[in-house]
Amino acid sequence: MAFLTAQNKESTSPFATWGWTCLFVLVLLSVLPTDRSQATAFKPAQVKAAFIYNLASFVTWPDKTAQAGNEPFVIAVLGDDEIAGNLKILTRDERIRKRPVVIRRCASIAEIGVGRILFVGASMARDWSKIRKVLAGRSILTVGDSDALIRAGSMVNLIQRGRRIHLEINIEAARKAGLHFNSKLLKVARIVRSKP
Amino acid sequence: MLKFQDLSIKHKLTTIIVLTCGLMMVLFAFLFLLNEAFSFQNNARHHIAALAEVTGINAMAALSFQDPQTARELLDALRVEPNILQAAIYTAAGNRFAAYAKGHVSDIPRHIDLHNLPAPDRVRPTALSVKAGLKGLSGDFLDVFQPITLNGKRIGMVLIRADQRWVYARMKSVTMMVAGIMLVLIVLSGFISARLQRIISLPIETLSKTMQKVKHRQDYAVRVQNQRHDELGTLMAGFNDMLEQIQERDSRLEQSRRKLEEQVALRTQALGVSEAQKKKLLAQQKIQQAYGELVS
Repeated sequence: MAFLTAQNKESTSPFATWGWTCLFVLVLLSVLPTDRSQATAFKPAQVKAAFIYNLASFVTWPDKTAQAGNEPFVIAVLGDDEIAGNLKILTRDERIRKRPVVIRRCASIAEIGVGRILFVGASMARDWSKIRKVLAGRSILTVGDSDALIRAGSMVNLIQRGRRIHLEINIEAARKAGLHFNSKLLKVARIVRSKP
Repeated sequence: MLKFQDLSIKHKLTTIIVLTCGLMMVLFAFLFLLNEAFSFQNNARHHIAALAEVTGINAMAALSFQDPQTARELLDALRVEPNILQAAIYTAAGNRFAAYAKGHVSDIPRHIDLHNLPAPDRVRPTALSVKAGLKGLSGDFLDVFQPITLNGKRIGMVLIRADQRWVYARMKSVTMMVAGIMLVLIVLSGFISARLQRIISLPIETLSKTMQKVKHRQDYAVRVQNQRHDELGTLMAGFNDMLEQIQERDSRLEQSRRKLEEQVALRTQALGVSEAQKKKLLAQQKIQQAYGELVS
């Protein structure tokens, strides 16, 4: 059986050990975000960027936004340059739903109205009420990394517990914006409600 | 031992029919069992492949958001299929992400080389040991490799190893069943052929019995009952015709004999010979007649 004997081969041939290490490192670099066993080696910002990118595959946007031809898939980032930088590296030459991915670093709240996903950094959390007003009526998935944001009505929270980043989702807030979470996402995420 | 050639028509026919049926049944059973063995395997492969695919689809989120706990729960659900010995989810780098095993999880490698997997044929039986009897048909284990793809990118791989040994037990029971049915059918074909062979054997039997009767009793008035229109019918009609012809010739001979007797009687009367002389003459005449018959 191939997958049992693979290890034996590896340990017996001296070339294989060296070759495998190289290949392993290469493969690791190319698939960095999804590899959990090595996740501890990555900075939280890298994992968060990967999570934001992966979220796109588990969220359904309403049809009217999907119709717009060859327009790129825009992920806007407000108030967190580290995550914006990591997202840029991660999504280079990548496509989401066959569209090229564009990362938009927003300097002010006035710029956030475009795109499919908006990441709000912890530094902008206190401006949430203003952000909310701009986003009203738009189908934009709001992602944050602070407990206050999700309680206030953002849709996804990336929260660090120990060495792992956990997902929290606010189904109610997403539904109000016309977004739907894939049921597979619900399995791995904790469901949170907005504070009244 | 009785030779086949010495058997009566009745038994020959029955034997031929039962042998033909039996041979066809054996041939059919062989082909049927061969097909069964292949389809068992094929079904098992598709079943395991489908389970791997479903597991892969369900594991997408768990892999994307690094949640091995959920992945483990997904794999644990494979418990419902008792033939699954091991199952594991590997990341795109080939590291074990989650595992399930009936025995020890530690038997499942922590790292595999995903690039050296038999990519186009993800369903592949591996023969660790091949049992006698079904040799060449199957290995004892079936390994299924199912890639997990998200957004056109391979993000991981599901591996399932299933026990295929149940196929042998299943084939054994099917073979027993087929053998049982075959036995019943052969006995049945014996009964049916014993009845149906009469269509051929009965007329032949009557014909031969009638022939014996004619021979023993010298009775040419006997006829075979005949309502058939096949070759046997022609044979019986011919037999009847022959008897009729013999009978006719007999009656003609008798007639001429009588005529002769009358003539002799008349002549002797006319000559006025004595009764003793008449008897002598008649005897002479009979000898002559018999001699004539012999010569002719």
